[in-house]
Amino acid sequence: MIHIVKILKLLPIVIVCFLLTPYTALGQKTKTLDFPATMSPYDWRLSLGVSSIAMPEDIVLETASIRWPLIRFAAIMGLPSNFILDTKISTEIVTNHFELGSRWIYEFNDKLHADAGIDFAYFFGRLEQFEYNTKIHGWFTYPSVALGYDFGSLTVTLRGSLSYINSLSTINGEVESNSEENRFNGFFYRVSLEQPFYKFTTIGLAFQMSYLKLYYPEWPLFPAIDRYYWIPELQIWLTL
Amino acid sequence: MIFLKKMLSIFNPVNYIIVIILLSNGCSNDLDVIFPEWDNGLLNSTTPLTNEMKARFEGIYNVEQGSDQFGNSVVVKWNGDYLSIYTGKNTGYFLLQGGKLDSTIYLQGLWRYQNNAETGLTQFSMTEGADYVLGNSGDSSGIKLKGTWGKNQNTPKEPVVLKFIRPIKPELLTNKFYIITHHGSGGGPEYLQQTENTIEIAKIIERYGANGFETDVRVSKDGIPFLYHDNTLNPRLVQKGSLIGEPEKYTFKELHTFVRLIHGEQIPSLEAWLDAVVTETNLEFIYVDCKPTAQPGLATIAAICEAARQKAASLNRDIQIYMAITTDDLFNAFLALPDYQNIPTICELSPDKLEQINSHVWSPRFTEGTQNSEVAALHSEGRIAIVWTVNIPSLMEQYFQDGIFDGMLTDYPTLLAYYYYGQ
Amino acid sequence: MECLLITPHFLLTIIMDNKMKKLILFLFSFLIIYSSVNAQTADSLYNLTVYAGGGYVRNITSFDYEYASLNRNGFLANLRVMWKPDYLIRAGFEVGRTDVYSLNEKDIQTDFGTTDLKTDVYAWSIMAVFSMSPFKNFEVNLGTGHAFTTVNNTSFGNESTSTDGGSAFMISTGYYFPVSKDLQLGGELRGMKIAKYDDYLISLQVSLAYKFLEW
Repeated sequence: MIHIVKILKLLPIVIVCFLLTPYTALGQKTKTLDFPATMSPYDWRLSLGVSSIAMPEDIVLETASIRWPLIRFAAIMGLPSNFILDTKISTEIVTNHFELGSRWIYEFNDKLHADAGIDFAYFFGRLEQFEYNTKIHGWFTYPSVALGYDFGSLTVTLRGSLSYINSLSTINGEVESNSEENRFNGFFYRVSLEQPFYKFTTIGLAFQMSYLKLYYPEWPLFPAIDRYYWIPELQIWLTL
Repeated sequence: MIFLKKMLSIFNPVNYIIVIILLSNGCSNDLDVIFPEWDNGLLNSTTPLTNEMKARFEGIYNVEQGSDQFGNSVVVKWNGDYLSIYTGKNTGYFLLQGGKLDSTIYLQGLWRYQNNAETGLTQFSMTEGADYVLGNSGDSSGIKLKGTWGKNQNTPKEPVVLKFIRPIKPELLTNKFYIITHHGSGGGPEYLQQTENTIEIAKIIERYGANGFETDVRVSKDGIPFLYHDNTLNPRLVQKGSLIGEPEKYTFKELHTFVRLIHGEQIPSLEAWLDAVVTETNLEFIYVDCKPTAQPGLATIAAICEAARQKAASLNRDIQIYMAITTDDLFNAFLALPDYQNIPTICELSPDKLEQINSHVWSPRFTEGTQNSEVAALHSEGRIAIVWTVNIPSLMEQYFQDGIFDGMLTDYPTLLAYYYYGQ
Repeated sequence: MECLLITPHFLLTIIMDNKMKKLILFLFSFLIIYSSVNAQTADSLYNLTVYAGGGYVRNITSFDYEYASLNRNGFLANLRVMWKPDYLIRAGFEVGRTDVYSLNEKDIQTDFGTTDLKTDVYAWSIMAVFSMSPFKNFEVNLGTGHAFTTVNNTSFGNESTSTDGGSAFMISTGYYFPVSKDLQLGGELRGMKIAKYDDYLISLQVSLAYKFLEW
């Protein structure tokens, strides 16, 4: 792909940046959501966040806008043997996405951690406003790996995930159409920073870049004939 | 040493941000769309085919070679001097021109997937079955198009063979079923070389299977109806350096002079556009979609449409021109027009409102399903129904199987033509 | 015939195309490659700081065609309030106004006769801003939000005004030196994208930062 060539051309700049940037460690540990950190079994955390998504122009056109953010409620719970159970509920009223999965944490040392996991999601949407009468539902799978570094009070996590559509069904009026099952939908990568915010809360800030054929929050917009789109997204959350 | 360690450390959060932003720097949704062209002059040596010859080899073909790329069957149909082959796979199509040389028919052109940048040169020759097509002897059963296809501007080398199976059912060619292109669908995912809602795209859209055109009408500050889809003059449709903002705030002189659409065209007036459609195309159905801001100009739009109909009649042109009433506000404003019952209209609202304004065409949204009972009732009154905007392949198939619409609005006329003529 | 946009736009597409944008990105990257991550040594744990800035802005967008009188230069001003905990990431919001471009072309020959063309484009923006201070007195800011672009146009004797909204994205680096315990004076180099009409702006401004609340 063209973008891979462009990335390779920028690689020398990346290496220079790494080599010339000094580092100083920070202080206390941060209560994180995305960072691959082990948790005591059955210890749990909750978080609430919002996402802002930039959709490609050629499918957004210039449209009647309903400006709702995507709201995410997430929870993680520690399990034995360095496993974590995680769940997310994402909603923007017309779209609802329920995710459940698990990841296994490996700590190289007290600062450098990694995880690998898989999430399964059920998503349904219902658009009955503005003369639409469309429903959609389906199942997704998201395998992921992550690498994170703990600077003390700040953690940085790089996560890469694949997206598979296991099944997808659209109902327009009384007409149902099913898309091809178990198809590769693309991938997304994310860098997130998490640090203490106020008293016992933690703020997380993430930039995610998705390369997908269908991105569930914007399902009414996606054209019937699919292609991959780059979709940037900013995520902010508070871990309580 | 400490300083060196710090220098060499890769563990700095700022670096990660730089990395991700730089990694994302290569991410663009723009497709590098090219339009390959032949330059070997082969067709200059050929003689054009007559209409009878062209009609003889229209039909449904099996793809004996090349089915991975183009599907298992295709529809072959002439549109003027262009031969269109609708493949149905990835909204793919061929667009060819051709002629005969001695007893062989040669075709050259391009193939393309309508939804992405994949395209290439292609060429065919017909020797088997050429005698029949050229009117000499034989029958259609032996017709075979043997050709090659390639990627981009490269010389085509991959084989593709199409074998004639049957002609297109005659009733499909004579019935009035309207494949209506959604404002020309030149922009957005379709990547044609002409901008939507222009005279330029109206002149060429029939090659892509359309026999109807839905166009978006607004009214300028000085009351002139013009064609433009979006609510603002924005980078999706206009070149940087043009006027910006809401088009209705400008006079038509300003729009026509200081706006260049993305492919360089000027914004046309409805009057000029209809004149070109009537005199320079064979389009059969025009759907004049009045945007909500067109309310002050409804009478003018109606008069322009009527003038175009009269011109078409004087030229014996078979074309239906309707103005579409799309919102309740437009509906109420339309009721205030003198003699509104005799103005040919499309009603996108309920069948009751359609009756009120005596519309000939009902146009419901595709999300409401086939609505066969409502459509049948309209048919019994001599009216027709056009559904919009149908872009999902499985939905197109289902609507043909289960529905009784008289036409469909679509961004993918090649795909709709494949399903329609392939029945 | 209309589709639906569910969420607000966040256009990091400033990083997606053209050479000028890559150059800006590279410059910002180079400005912070000598940074180190330090906890902000503050006398208090949290504070609220207001920034008031103004300066010069230039539109660096590529125009498909441009009149000789196209003026890409202008002024901008903004007001920002930042929440500053004793950690790396700060958050706040910013309101600002910026010139985008203007032109004043005389005696244009057209099919409809001769006319002058006068266009003035400016934008008001409101953004959420996230900030980091990689080393003392130095800040890197990232903003995302909304901008309302207004165009005033006069041609063929017609005056028109139109205002429309779209996404806005900002990235900036700033250096502030303390004037007093609560007051800092500094400057910022900013890049901004206003998505509605695809405008990219680069600006240099002077800012005052006043810490008005701390605890």
